[in-house]
Amino acid sequence: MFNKSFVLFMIGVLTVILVAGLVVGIVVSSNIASASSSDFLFDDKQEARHHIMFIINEEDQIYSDVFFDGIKQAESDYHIAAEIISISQKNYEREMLEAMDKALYADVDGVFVHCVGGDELNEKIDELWAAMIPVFLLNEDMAYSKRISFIGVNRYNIGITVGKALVESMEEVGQIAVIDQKQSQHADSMSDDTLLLGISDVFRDYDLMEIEMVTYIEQGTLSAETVATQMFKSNPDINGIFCTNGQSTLGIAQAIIDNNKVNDITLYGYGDEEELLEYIERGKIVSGTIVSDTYDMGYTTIRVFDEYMNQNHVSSYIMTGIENIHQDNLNYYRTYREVRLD
Amino acid sequence: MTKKKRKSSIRQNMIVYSMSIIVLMTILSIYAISIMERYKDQMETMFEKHIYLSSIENTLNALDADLLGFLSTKSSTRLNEYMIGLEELHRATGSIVIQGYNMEDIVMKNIVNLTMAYDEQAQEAISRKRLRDVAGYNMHYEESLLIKGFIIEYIDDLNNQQLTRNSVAYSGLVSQIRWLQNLTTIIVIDLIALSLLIVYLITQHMVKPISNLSSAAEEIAKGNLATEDVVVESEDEWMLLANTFNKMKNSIGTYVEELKYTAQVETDLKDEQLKNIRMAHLLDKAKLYALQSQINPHFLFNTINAGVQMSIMERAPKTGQFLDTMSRLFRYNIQQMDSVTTIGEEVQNIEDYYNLLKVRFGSRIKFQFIIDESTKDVKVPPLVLQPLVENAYIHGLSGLEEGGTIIVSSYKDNDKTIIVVRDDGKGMSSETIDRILTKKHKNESEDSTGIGVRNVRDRLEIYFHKSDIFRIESKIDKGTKIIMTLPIME
Repeated sequence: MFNKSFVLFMIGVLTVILVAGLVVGIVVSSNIASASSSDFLFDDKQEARHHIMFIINEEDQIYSDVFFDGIKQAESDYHIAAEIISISQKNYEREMLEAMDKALYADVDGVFVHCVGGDELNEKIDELWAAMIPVFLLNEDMAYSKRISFIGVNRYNIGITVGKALVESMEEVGQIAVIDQKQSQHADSMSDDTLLLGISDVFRDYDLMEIEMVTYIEQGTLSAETVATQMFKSNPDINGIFCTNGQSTLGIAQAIIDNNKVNDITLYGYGDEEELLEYIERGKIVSGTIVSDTYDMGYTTIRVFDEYMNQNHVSSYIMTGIENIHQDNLNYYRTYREVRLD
Repeated sequence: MTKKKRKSSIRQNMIVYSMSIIVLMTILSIYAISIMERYKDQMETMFEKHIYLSSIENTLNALDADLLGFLSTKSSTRLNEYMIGLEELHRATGSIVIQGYNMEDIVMKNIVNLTMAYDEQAQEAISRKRLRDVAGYNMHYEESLLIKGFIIEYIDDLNNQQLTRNSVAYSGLVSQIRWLQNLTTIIVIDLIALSLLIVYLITQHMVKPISNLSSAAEEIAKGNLATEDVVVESEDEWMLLANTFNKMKNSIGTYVEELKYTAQVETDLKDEQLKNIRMAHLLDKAKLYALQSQINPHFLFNTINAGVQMSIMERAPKTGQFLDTMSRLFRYNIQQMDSVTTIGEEVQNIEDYYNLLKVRFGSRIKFQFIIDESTKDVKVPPLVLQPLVENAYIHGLSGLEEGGTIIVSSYKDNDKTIIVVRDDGKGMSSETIDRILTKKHKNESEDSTGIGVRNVRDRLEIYFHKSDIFRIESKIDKGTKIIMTLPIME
């Protein structure tokens, strides 16, 4: 009925199909077996050498995705596992202390904390120190504690940069309002706030430049809008504003438009939200913004920890860079940021 | 082909084919078991850790209840239960392998460390209780509660992570299982087709030689030994059988050919004997014919000789010549019929016969002889022309008042000698010719010349071993021509 060669050919073809089917089946079933297993921390599937804990304020824009990208890259480079505990602004201090307890009892290898607080926090840092768990502070420093190192932006430098930017934008004449975050209000007087100190140091050389008022607000667009509207009514002479939060800067910009103050007020913000950059691009409402290199900050945390674990000593202050972004260097910054994110 | 020289045998082939089928089925079974094993592993992976973590959480809750019970009542029973629960917790956490490959490993490490911290705080609380340090045991109990909260928080976190991942994995699992089902269906169909082809190959390998052999055997049974040899490609017992069968068939063929040859030889011999018998029979019949139709030739011969002598004494030379011719004719006629003569002698006899007729009928009957000299020595049986001339006279010329001519001629045509006896008489119908050459008449005496002509024909055919020697052509009122085509005898 069939030619023998044809039968042998068909047997060959069917054997190939069978082998291919079996191989594919085994491979697919292997994928099934690994479908519910957890991903490896690192691409090279190596074990983590250390385990550190980050305790941060989830509402602080510094701890953005870019910051975590920096951490992730450093984790991979140094084979260090980072556990992130994000705490909301509400009850931050209490929950931060609890998280530090958790780090203590879980016996982690190191703690990075965005700290807010006084003696209790100081004691907790001491407690962790006693348990041989090094503590590193992020962005907010407690110089008299037993923390190993402070990593973050230097508020004094921010003040200097903003002060110079405002002098230039306002042509050396201006009544400035500083709108800061409530969480940053831990200085007893204006002279103790390094941010304000920096601005004042710049203004000292310009007789017609001065800080008219300092206001601390809750983070958020609505809160900033409300405060700005009240400020326009109570202090109509103010023609320059520096806001230390990106979301709040957007709220103030909206208040300027609503109160018909465009071209009357020079607004400087903080952060690099896309909406803020679009305001700068259009001009008139937002003159510029101060951005810190959050990727570098994230990466630096783990690099510093690794350095400490290897050498048992690191610099007490580690500053990450800040940039003044305005219309002239906006495109350059955007390109730089895209490259960094890639 | 000896047993040792054979590359394969039917048994080996059967083993190979059967093993192929068995191996294919085994592969399918192993494949199915492997897939099922992976499913099982998957299901275990999905729920194993969840169950394990839940047991730790339950143990921890029970421990806390027992600890609180002891701290409240200082009950040794609760303390014992606490110690038993603690053992269970240590057993559970002791099985955890501390690793750091992923975040789950890190969290598991945290859980182990927190469990140890919980134990320390609880032990301290128990110690303080025993020392009746209320503030101390309260503080450590609170710490243990805090740590327990951390542990449960981590467990819940892990469970949530697993639930999320398992939900994603389950969706993938369902689509992959469906895909795998289709693939398995294809594999099963492929295996069935493969098995069928192998079975087909086996049966073809087994059946084809048998079929060929049986077909060849059927042909041989019908007597057809000229069938082609059965060809078997496989070098096994079938080839041996086919070769043996072919040898047997060829041997039978050769034997049958030999038998046929022998039978042919015997037949030819019998034919020869039969011809000889017929020849003898014809000669006997000729003799009988001569005896019946004529008076004793010796008596006549002697009487005629006496007449010759008497005519000489009476000085009658023409009568003497007539009788001499008659004497010669009789002498020629009484010679042995199985002897051999020549065409020349035959012609001489006819001339004698003609001279006698001339005396009887005058010039009414004329004879003409056109004899090629080269044909005169050709050997022929005796008395072949005379019956033909008599036939020409009786059937052709006897009834004609004006008479006629009988022409006897002979000549050579290539390797044949042709003798023609022709008359210009009244001719014969085809029925008459047929009657002369066959035995359709009832009474031979009615047509004695017919017997003579047939006798001549039969003797010539027997003598020359040929059947197409004799031919009669005749037309009514035109004459008759008898043509004898004689082959040259070696």
